[in-house]
Amino acid sequence: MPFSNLAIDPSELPQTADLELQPLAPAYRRLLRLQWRLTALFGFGLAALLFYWVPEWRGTAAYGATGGGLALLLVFYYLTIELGWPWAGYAVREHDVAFRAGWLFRRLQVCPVVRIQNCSLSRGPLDRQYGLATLRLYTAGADGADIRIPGLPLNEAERLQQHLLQRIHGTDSSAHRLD
Amino acid sequence: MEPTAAPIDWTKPQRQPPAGFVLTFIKVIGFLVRFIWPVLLLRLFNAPEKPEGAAARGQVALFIVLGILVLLLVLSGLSLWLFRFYIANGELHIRKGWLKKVALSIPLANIQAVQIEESLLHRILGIVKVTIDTAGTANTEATIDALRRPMAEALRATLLQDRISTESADTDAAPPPPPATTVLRLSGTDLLRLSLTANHLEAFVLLLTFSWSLYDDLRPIATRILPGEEALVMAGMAAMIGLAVMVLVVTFIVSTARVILRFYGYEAVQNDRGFALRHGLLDRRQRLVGFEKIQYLHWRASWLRRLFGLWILELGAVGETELKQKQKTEVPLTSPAQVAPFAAAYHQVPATEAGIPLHIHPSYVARRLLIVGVLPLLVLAPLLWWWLGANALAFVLWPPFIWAMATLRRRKFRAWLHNEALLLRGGTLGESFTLLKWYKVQSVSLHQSPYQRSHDLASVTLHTAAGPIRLLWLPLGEAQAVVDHALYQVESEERKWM
Repeated sequence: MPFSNLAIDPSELPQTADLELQPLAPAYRRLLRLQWRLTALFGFGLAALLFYWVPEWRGTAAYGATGGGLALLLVFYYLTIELGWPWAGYAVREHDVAFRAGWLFRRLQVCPVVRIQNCSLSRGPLDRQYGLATLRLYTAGADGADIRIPGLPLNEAERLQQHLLQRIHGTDSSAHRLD
Repeated sequence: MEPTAAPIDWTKPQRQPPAGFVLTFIKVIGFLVRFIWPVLLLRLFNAPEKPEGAAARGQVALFIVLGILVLLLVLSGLSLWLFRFYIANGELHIRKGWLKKVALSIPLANIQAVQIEESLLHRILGIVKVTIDTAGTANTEATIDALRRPMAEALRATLLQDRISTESADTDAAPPPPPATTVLRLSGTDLLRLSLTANHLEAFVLLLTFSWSLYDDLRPIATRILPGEEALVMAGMAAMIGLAVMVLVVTFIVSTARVILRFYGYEAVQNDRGFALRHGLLDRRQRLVGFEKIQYLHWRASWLRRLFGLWILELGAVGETELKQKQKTEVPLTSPAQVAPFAAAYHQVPATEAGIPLHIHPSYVARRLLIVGVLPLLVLAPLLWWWLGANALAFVLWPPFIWAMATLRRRKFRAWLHNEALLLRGGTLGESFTLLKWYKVQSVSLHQSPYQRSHDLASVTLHTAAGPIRLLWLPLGEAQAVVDHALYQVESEERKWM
């Protein structure tokens, strides 16, 4: 084969800036809100127990500090869910998979298909309740090189997993199906 | 290599020699002593004033310790006995464990390198440790803690021979491999220069941490040994730790000794498969780093070492992120030109004169000063004032220090994007270079803080199997171009990354 070393015009390369991201399932937003409510319940429950068991930790100042701190954390958590939602999304291109998330600090991860070592689906009890799954793409890289795409509708996640497994191993993934 | 007396039948299960049990025994004793030495010291000195029943309790404690010791020894012996390995159907099989049985099978084709290492203890016992590196993660790698050297070398030859014959079967009429060449050998003078320019500050911090933990361990014991004299004892100890001059002298000796112990007799030999590195005075290490396992090259020098032309080259091999610093594959260089033979096997160092390099955006310095220098000081100022009084004023030097470091870092940073590789220059007082072939990248990420978004800036992380490489605070367009180029190179490349 003749050797060639052609110059590349950067403007002709596929641009990540033009990525059209697919939004996560709306059910995932409802799940996140439910998680927020459960966290709030757990946090205030814990605070109430603290007031009950530690008599020294009572009084207006203690109530204010605990309640205020907790409320501040919960507001931040809520904003992270609501304001981060429009930016969260994923894209599957011919040669790579991308995922973007974050509200204050945004992160776009792109993993070439040829570097995916394996991919798995996982579902917690709440995911099952909402018909969702999380797709994880494993690479040989360290320190956050793997990609985790949460909030995918189950059938879509399974299709994606099957597509990726076929690309990386050339195998059918029916054995990996989740109930 | 020493020839073995008779060929070993690797298809039959092999065990570790009895010296392996001695090794385990000494390790267990060392492990126990490290945990219980303050108690032993206390028992040695704390004879008088025992409350009633203390002797009986002490005996019970002693029996418990002895019981644990015996149990650990029995388990160690058992695990040594149950450890077997053999080669069958093109795979190395390792069987081990008693309660938790482990069966590990490594295809010989996946074996990248076989390392033979020996610590001082290994040398005394006349054995070596064998580590088998594979193309997977750390979980798929295997270690045989004790083997006689001839057996270890025969095993290495067998494991790698299979790989070589597999490779030669794949490539018809392959040219004969080039002879092994020594690319680096460290002389006594080089070793002395390296050790004298070692990072004495790092050794100082290590020594200080060790002294503090010792002080912490001894404090309760001292109060028991010399009741009523705690203040005197503590004052003596504090004075001992406070002898800064002495600590500095010891620090200098320690850091010098660390370098000598680590890099003594350093030799790097290049063969057709990779670099064979041998070094160490007490712990003699021998390691083969396959060419394909190298993900990037990183060479660095502190300001002091740069004055003497001394550099440390890190061969960023797969799985290095999981290793401690002292276990990383580092090569001491006595001139920057010595990078060339190593780079030649990976990728020639591109010329820095050609092309326009990328820079860190100027706003990086101001943001760093604000976020790391000024804001933490404003938050902590009342606390520091309350704790240290007027001495807290020394902390006003913190923001200028951060500003100076950020400025130096910004001025030094350059990124040259070439078609096949990326060359980075970094450092603050010292200097470092990183050479990465694009197709070694595993995944890419682009990060933006709120400030970066409002000013069209971004940071890029290129994840490799040997660790991440970061390009901070680039204009957004340039950051996206780096991401796009990296993805294009990985996705259009047909060569295997390892």
